[in-house]
Amino acid sequence: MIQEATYLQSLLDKIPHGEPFRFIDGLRGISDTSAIGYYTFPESADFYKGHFPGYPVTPGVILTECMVQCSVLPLAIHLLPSSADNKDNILPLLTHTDIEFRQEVKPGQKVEVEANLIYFRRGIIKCSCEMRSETGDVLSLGNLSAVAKQ
Amino acid sequence: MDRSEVNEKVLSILKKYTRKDDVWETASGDSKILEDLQINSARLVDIMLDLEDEFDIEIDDETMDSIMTIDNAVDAIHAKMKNQ
Repeated sequence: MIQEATYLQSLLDKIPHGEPFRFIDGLRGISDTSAIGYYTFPESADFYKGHFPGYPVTPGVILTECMVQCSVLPLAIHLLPSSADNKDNILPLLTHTDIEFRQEVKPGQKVEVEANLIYFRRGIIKCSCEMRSETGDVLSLGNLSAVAKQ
Repeated sequence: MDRSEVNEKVLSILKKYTRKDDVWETASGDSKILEDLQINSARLVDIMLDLEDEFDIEIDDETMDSIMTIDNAVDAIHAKMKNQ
């Protein structure tokens, strides 16, 4: 697994998402078949005001997006041939999700996401993904597919 | 395996990927997988991998591009199996 900081940062730099829809802080490592990223959900995130008033919990759609950004997307960028045109301008679009949410993720909680490649074919990447807490508890898991448009 | 058996197994796999049951009421061998069965094009790779597993064959990109209808899929698979 590649853990060289400069390379991992170069992958992070290619992730097009910006605030307030960026849900990745960093990458622990990447290989041709897997990726591990991490993120801490900020207590100040706007969506906690409504989800839910008096009982803030991270919405499943945000957890799903975090799983993509922390693992599937960096892996897709890593796997794209270096000769690919516009590798710096990738537009990732989710095409299919099958995720099970097992535990609530609270404001301020740090999570780690691991993706394992099922296939990357015809521009479509499909991975099995797992989001875990700092203590290793599985928070959500399932399969995610995305197309990396250039 | 004869063509009708291949056809039955192909339909069984395609049915996993259709979101509306009523598309099958008017389906025939000429039905287009994307337009008539309303299957998401992003699922085509999943379908091809399922077909590869089911029939123990390899479907290359060129063959995949040639498959538009149910009959196209059945014919392509049947031909590959006969050539094995």
